[in-house]
This record gives sequence, C-alpha cells and structure tokens, in this order.
Amino acid sequence: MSGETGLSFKDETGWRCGCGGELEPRKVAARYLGSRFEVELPACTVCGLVLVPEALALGKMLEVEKILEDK
Amino acid sequence: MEQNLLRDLEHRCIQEELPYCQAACPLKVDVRSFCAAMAQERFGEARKILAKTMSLPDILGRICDHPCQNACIRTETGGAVELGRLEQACLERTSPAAPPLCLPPRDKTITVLGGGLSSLVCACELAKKGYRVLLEFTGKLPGGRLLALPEEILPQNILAETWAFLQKLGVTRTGGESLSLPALREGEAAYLGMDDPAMAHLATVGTVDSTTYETATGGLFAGGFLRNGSPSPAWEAADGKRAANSLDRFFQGASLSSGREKELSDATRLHTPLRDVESISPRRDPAEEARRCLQCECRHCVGECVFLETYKRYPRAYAREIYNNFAVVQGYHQANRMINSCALCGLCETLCPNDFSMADLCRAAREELVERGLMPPSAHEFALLDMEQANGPRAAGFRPGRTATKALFFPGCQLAGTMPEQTEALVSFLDERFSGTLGVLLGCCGAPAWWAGRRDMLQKVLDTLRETLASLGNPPLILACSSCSDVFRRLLPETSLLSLWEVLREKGLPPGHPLPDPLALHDPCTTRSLPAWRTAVRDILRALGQPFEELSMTGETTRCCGYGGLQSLVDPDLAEKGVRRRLGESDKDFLAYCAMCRESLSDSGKPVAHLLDLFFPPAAPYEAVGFSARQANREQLRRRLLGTCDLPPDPWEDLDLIVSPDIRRRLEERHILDSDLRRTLWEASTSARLLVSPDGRTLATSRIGNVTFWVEYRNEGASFRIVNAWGHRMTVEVLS
Repeated sequence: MSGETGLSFKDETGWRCGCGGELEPRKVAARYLGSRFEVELPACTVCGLVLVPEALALGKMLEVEKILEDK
Repeated sequence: MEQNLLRDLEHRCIQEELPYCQAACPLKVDVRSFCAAMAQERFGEARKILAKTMSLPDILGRICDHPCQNACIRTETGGAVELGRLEQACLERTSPAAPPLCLPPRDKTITVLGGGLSSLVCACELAKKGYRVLLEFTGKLPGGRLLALPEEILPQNILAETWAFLQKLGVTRTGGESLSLPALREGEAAYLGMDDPAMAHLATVGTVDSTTYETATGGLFAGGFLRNGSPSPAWEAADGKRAANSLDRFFQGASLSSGREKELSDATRLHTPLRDVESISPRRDPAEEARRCLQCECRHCVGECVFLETYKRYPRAYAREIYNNFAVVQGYHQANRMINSCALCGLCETLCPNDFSMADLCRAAREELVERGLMPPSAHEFALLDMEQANGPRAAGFRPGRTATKALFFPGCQLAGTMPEQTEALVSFLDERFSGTLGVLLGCCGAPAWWAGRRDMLQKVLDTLRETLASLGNPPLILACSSCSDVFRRLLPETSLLSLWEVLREKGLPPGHPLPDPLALHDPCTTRSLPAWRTAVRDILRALGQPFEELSMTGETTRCCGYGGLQSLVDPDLAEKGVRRRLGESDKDFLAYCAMCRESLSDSGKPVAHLLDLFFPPAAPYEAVGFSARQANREQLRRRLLGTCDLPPDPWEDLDLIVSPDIRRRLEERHILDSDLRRTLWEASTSARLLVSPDGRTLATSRIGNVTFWVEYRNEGASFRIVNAWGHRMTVEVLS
C-alpha cells in the first residue's frame, strides 16, 4: 500500500516516538472487515507504535476501506 | 427485495413508456429518436430509424397520414410537430439503404394477393423471414390505389423500384391477370390485401379478427381495410406487417394472439410535464422543425431532484439496480452509495403521477442492507453516535410540569443543539402560558436510526420514550421539529402530536421582532404531509407582520435541505448541490422553521433566519454551529433546564482545546468531534501513544470505537492548540 500511495517514509522523519525510540520502516499488518494486507509503515523500533500519516489515512487507506465496505 | 415488489415499482415509473407519437403510430416508429436525428441534420440516421419499423419507407414516408402527429402534445404550445413533413424531408435527402438481411429460406410458399401497400409490406416482411412469396397483382406494376397518386406525391418510379427491391428479396408473381381466392390446402396460407381496388370482388371475405387478421377461413388472412371510412396508408402498412407476423406464427404453430399487446396497443401511460415549455410555431426548415420536438419523457422527479439527477437514471432503473445489488453474491455492491444518498424527502412521490417513492425504496433497501450485514459500517455510524449522544444522560432527560403535566414539550436534538439559549427562553415562555402544566423532554426522536435503516436502535429510542410518556400519564407531545413528527406519527401512533407553531398560534405569540425585508419561506421536507404545520407557520407570520414570499417549490413540493435521510453525511457534495439549488430559488434571505434546515442552509453564507429568531432575537447573526458545538449545546441546555446529570464527568472533559476556524472546518468535514480530540489526548498521554517532533509538535493517537484518531497539537500553557487531526478505520500492527 505504501508503494502505491507514493508515501515516502522520509516525509515523515522528524517524528520520534514518545517512548524515546526511533521510527523505522517496518512490516505491519493492516486489517479491516476480515481482510488483511501487509504493508511497510514507519513504526517505533522499541514499542512498535505504527504511524499512519494523514495522506495515507485519507488517501489509499480510505479508498481500500470503502471498497471492502461494499464487498 | 422481493421480485413482485420490483415489478410493482417498475410498473409505477413511467419513464420507459412510449412517447405519445410512437404509441399512436400503428407501426411504432421511434419518432422521438427520428426527430433527434433530424434536428441534428443526421438524415441518414433518421432514415435508418424509420426503416427499423417501417418496411417500405420510400413509399409510406411520402404518403403517411401520420397518426403520430395528431397525438403530439405540442399542439397547445405552437402546434404539433409536423412529422409527416419531416418524414418526406428525410426521404428526399437520403437514398434507400442496402437490402436487409433475410432469414434462411423456408420451404413454405405464401400467396399475397393485391398490389396495395398492405400487400407490398406483407410480402416484404414475409420474404425477410425467409418465406417464398407469390405476389399477385394486376397490371405491370404493383401499387393498387397508389398508382393513381399524383407524381409530385409519389413518383411512379418509386413503385417500380419497390417492385425491383421485392424481387431482389425473392418475391415472385405468376403474372395471372385475375385475382381469385386461392384454394388453400392443409398447411397453406394466403393474405388478401383489400387496399387494392382490383380486390374489390373479394370484399365478401367475411369477418376478420382485428388483432390477428385471420378470416373465418383457417390460413386465410386479410387486411388493408378502410379506417373510419377512408384509406389510411399508415394502417395499410401496419395491417400488412401485423398480418405477416400472424402468418409467421401460423406456420410456426404458435398462438396467433399471445404476447402481442405492445405491438397492437396505442395506449401509453407517459406523463410529460409541460410546465416550462415555450410556445414555438412550426418552422419551414426540417431540422429546425425537428428541434420543436419535446423529446417527450417523464423524468419529472429527476428534473427536480439533485440525487436522482446525479445518478443519471430514473426510478425504474434505480429499482432494478437496487434489486440487482441484493443479488450480488461475490463482488461489489455498487448501488450501496446510491441507496444511502437519497434524502428520503418524498418529493419524487409527490411529483410522480403513480406515487413512486424513492424514499420508501431506499429506506427499505437500507433496512435490508443492515439485516443482511451488508451496510457499509462507515455510512451512518457518525450520525448514529450523534444520536446516542443526544439521547445520552448528559444531553437527554425530562422534567414534569410544576403542578401537572398536561403536555410535554420536545424541542428535539437539533433545536437544542443549534439554539440552546432561544430554546431556554421558549421553554420559559411556554411554561408561563401553560401555567406550570408543561413538562419538558430533551433528546432525539430516533430519526437518524429510522433513516439509517436501524430498526433495532430506533426501537430502543421509542421504548424509552414510551416509558417516559407513560410515567407522565401519556400527555400530548408538542414538537418543534417536523422530522420528529414524521417519525412519531408512523411509529408512535398512539401519542397525540401538536406542532409548536399550532400551540403558539393558539396560546398567543411572544412579543415579535419582524424583519423589515421579505423573507423566502422554506418548508422542511417532513412537512410535506403535515399541512397543519405549514398553515400555522403562515398564520404566525401574518399575525406578526413579517413579510414573506413563497418559493417556487413550496408546501407539498418543497425541497430538502440535504440533511434528510442523512444525505449530507453520506455524500456532502451532493447535499451541497441541493442547498445551492434551493437557495438559488430566491435572492431574498431565507426563513426556516426547522433547526436542521436552518443549519444546513446556513453553511453557504446566505442569511437564513429561524422562525424563533423573530420572537427571541439572537445575539449575533447565525452561523452554522457544527457537530461538536451542537453536542456541547445539548449538554448545556440539559444542565440549564434539568440540572447536571448523575454521571461523573469524563477525565478528559476539562482539557482545554484551541481550534482555529480553519481547523474547525477541517474537523467538521472529517467528522472529528472535540470529544474525540480530548479523549485521544487523554488516552495517548496515559498510555504513552505519542510521537514528538523537534519543533515542539506532538502527535497523539487512540482507538475510539471503530476509528483510530490521530491528533497533532502544540502545548500552549495548559491548553492544546490543535494543528491537525485525521482518522482511519483500518487497524495496523507491527509484524514481529
């Protein structure tokens, strides 16, 4: 998904996790209505908090949510 | 959706009914498409349209007595479109198309007697179907009566060309000069074309069935009779064509009459509104004349509704799409968005001559989507959560009258949400007029659940309401919102309902503050079936001396503000289109008497007053309040009228937010409430789900219900300045 949105991880650097950890691209599972996708997203190397940037949430992710809702 | 319901709905919508001209034409020529092609000077295409149902257009097109023209509804506005002249013009400008493709030859010979038009058409049709046709006529050329027509009407070479054309199709003649009744053996058939004077001696053929053209003699068919005492070329051609159809059925062993209703009927149920049709007299130029064609169709409802217009089709087609939507087993339910975008306002039903109700259709479809687990979860969740807030302990509740409860005032969640101070003033006024016998009930009527197809949630709301009413001795409800009235009259029929406006009219009005300029009066769509509400409002305005004007779509035909059916939550752009269209009906400022109509119409900047403003003038001009403030207002009104609720405050309730107008707009569009922001900030800080940036911004996240919220902010002292916020429904989790 990240590749399709053109989402660049570098755009989101600057954020550090509140736990003190760094954000690095990590494989995450995105789930909705019984479907599961594997994507790469910035996540904390220490506590695993995953950042879903605005452009992704309101772009490709919303689009996929809508498609799954009409399935 | 049951198939018989679909059939009933499809029958109600008359958009696919034949236009008047085509219904009147015995050959069912698609006159509307013909005119459309002629209007664009696409003469070749116009000819093809004629030839589709007219077997020998080169003859009939020149001499047609055009029953279509007599049926044209332009008669009252400049005169019927001169279709006969357009047919001639088309033929003069084009040449015959290539001979049609014929079906493979059949081993059957049919004798067609007479050279009149009906015989020529019958021979042509049978030849196309693959039969061997023996055409018997007297003289050198066929034509019968047509041979006597003047050259300028029907050039004789056309008859010669027609005969050559028929011969190309395989039609032959024995050349005998006498036309005598053939002796038919078992399995043989013949046609007698009585429109040839040479056939006069056979006029004693006996009774002929007027729908199948069969005579009393089996296998012997006849047509080409006079119509109303005179010859009619259009009917002669139709007789020949219909008889050919019967002959074909005869040889196939099929019923001569079944399933031919459309072919034989001249009835149509089409209704074309002529309201805005400009009177134009006939034009000499054929293309200009064709442009006078109204392209008759119904689409009455479609033309008046942004929703019906946006989805490009018409109710009959939508019913079919919805039916198909439920038939999808694997794949996408493409009609979901359409089903959820209707404002359920009922305008189409009012305009439709057959009462087709998209509201009933779409609301039932929503219930079915919910029941079958197919309703997109995001479609109505936000509205239903808002309803839950309005009916929650912090915003809802009731108090009996001070001495007794003779009536119960129910302002509704949107009046409470958009005008809390004025609602409070109104309650004081009513309390005095009722001398302490008026109770107050705050909450939501359940309309969002009704609109969202959520019977389960609606039932809960109504059960609580019934309980409250029973505890107060079932007093009548005084309603400020017609949507509440619409829900209660359907689903709480045992309760007597009064409109606030009727009550004010009878109990006496508060001191008035009319505005100097006339206001355009907007009826809410849910008053469409509540004439008493509309009358009371007009009586009040007159009593008050408030000048007002009626909009073009008013009363029963009023338009929805876009909140109806939760349209603005499902498709905000569509709702906005509707608002623009509504406001465009008048350059005056508007006056509404539904709090939600006023809120929806106000979003575009045009001043929209509420009827209560004329009695309890607001401190500042109204601006759309929005979801967050409406919720806060409901809670404020509850505290003011009923006191603080027993529930302990949420720990995040006191977090102070700073939200600029730009960010506020964004939050409203994204359906993010202040309560979501506060709770996210609180939960993120307690669970350390925060990101920080070197420039001092913080990004907090939390999952609340079915949404993950992200709130970007800066600390300003003890306050939180909101920089941005967004949400998503998907969940994400790092894979180890």
